[in-house]
Amino acid sequence: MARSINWLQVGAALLLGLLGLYVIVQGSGYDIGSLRRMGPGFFPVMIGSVLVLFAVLLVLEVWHSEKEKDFWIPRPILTITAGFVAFAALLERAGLVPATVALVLLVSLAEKPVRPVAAVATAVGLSVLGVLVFIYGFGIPVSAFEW
Amino acid sequence: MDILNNLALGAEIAFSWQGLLFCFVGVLVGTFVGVLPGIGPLAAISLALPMTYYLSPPIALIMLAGIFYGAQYGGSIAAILLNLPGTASAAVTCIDGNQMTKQGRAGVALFTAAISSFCGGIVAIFMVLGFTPMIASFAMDFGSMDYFSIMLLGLVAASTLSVGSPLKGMTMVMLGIALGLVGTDDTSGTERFTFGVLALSDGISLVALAMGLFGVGEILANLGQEKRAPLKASGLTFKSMLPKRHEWSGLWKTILRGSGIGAFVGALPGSGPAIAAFMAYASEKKLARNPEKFGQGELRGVASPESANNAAVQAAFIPTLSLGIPGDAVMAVLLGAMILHGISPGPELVTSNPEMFWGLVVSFGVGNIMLLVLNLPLIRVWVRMLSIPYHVLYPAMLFFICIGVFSVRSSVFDVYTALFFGVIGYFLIRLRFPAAPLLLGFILGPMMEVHFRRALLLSRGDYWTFFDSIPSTVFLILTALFLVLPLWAAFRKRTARTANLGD
Repeated sequence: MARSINWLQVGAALLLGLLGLYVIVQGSGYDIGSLRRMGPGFFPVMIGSVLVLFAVLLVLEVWHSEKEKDFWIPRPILTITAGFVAFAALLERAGLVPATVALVLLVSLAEKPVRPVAAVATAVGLSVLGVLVFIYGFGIPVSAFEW
Repeated sequence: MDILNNLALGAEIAFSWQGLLFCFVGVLVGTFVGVLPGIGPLAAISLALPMTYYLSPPIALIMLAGIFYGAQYGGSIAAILLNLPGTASAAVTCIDGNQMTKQGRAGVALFTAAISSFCGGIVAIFMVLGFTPMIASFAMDFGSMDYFSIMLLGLVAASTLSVGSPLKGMTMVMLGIALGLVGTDDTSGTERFTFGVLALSDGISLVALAMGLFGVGEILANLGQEKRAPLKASGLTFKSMLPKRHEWSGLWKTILRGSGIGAFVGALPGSGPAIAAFMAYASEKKLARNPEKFGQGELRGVASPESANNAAVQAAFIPTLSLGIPGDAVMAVLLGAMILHGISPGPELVTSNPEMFWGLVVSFGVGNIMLLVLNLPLIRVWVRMLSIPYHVLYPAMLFFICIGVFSVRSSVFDVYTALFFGVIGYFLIRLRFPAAPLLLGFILGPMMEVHFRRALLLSRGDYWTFFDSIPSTVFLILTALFLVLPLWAAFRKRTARTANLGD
């Protein structure tokens, strides 16, 4: 019985192998030293080599493994990415409240159907909580609004 | 009596108003995240980590530990009522627990789960009391080669004992160690793998990595799934929870066996509460006179895994506190928390920070009693929690992740780090790569490198130093066993299959 190749799993294993190769190449750029007195490059080269070895074995293991369904979910990934980027960009420039509102509204788009009322209510509630707990309570170095 | 003095010292910490308050906060948060499917103790502990900077280290540890074992109580609620494990370790409880719900015996199942968890916790506390100081004094003479070997054993055990492919687990360990390389090398001061980014010279933020993998990643995986049916509020009364006498008879033996297995398995490096619960259930089924009843709403099928998983959680503190070596990923984060608080975990901890160790152990007892109260009379509050809609829950969780990651070192860069590992974490979940070994490797990797270099420096580059000491040799032999066993099992499975095909 010939089963088709699971390219997704094989691709993941190959990526891990490439990462291992990169660790070896980059690691050997640091001082390797000797066994008696190891430099900062020794351990990375060792780890990278084992990673490459495991990745090769992994390719063999997953070659014919069962395929994943509905693997690619662009909507949640993109909306959550947008939310995090907005939060990170706004936090120190515009303040905690705008950052929180942007984050909550953007990530609320991840699921269908979008519920605007619930999203706005959550955004307001979390903004109040964030200002009270994190700015007044823990004193994180951010203001609620940056003018 | 020395131990009485020590316990008195511990009680002083655990019964101080701060100790009681934060123990309560911990078990409350723990039950809460345990009840909610899709957010586990690991995400909750990493979330609470930045907040513990405002607490003294023993109090911080009491709270974080409370989250961990509180989640074991909460995890059974969703498992029994919804057939959804609130935590990975409650997965076994689903089998019989949910069957009992379908038969209208949800109350009895919930009651048994809480009592079993409590007994498991108490048994394990005595294990921790008895063994931790003993192992610690034994480990006092450990050299670098012993530490390197036992960490290797822990990593190999964690990846081969986890559910799924052992090879994937080991690959994740290596990936974790590789990620742990990022930052400034302590010995030489060289910056490694930082890409010239200043924020990376201190290494990747542990909180950002953990929150990304276990917080954002899980949320993404949940969003990609089919919608689940909402919970119908069931008429739970305290009276309906009490088991009848014939159900209760002989159950204490099951609970004691489960506690014993859980405490033993939990104390081994690399095995967590999920494995303990599974092993307890399997052995209980083997021992039973009527094993066919398991899976059809057998009360022992709830009592056994629930006593085991809570016992395992408490026993997992034995290697962490006596050797400074975490048994599973949650323990690894707790260890990271101790390091962040300026405490170097290791065999000296019990003697150098006695208030830390004894305070924690006494708080286990306090916390378990609190949990019993929280879970029996107040069960309906938790059941109502299950009806919080996900579209309110996940934006709130993402908000706490963002602000929590930022507040650790006031770094916006770490928010991007959490996002990056969140997307990676989603792909890992869907491709069935376990993320827990990755985190374990990330935390143990830098310690292993230090001990590896020191051991070889002292032996002048002679690899045989790892076989010069008895503990190190034993650990390496055990490591080899853990490596060979799954290979052997796979080989036997394959030969069995080809033999079947030949017939």
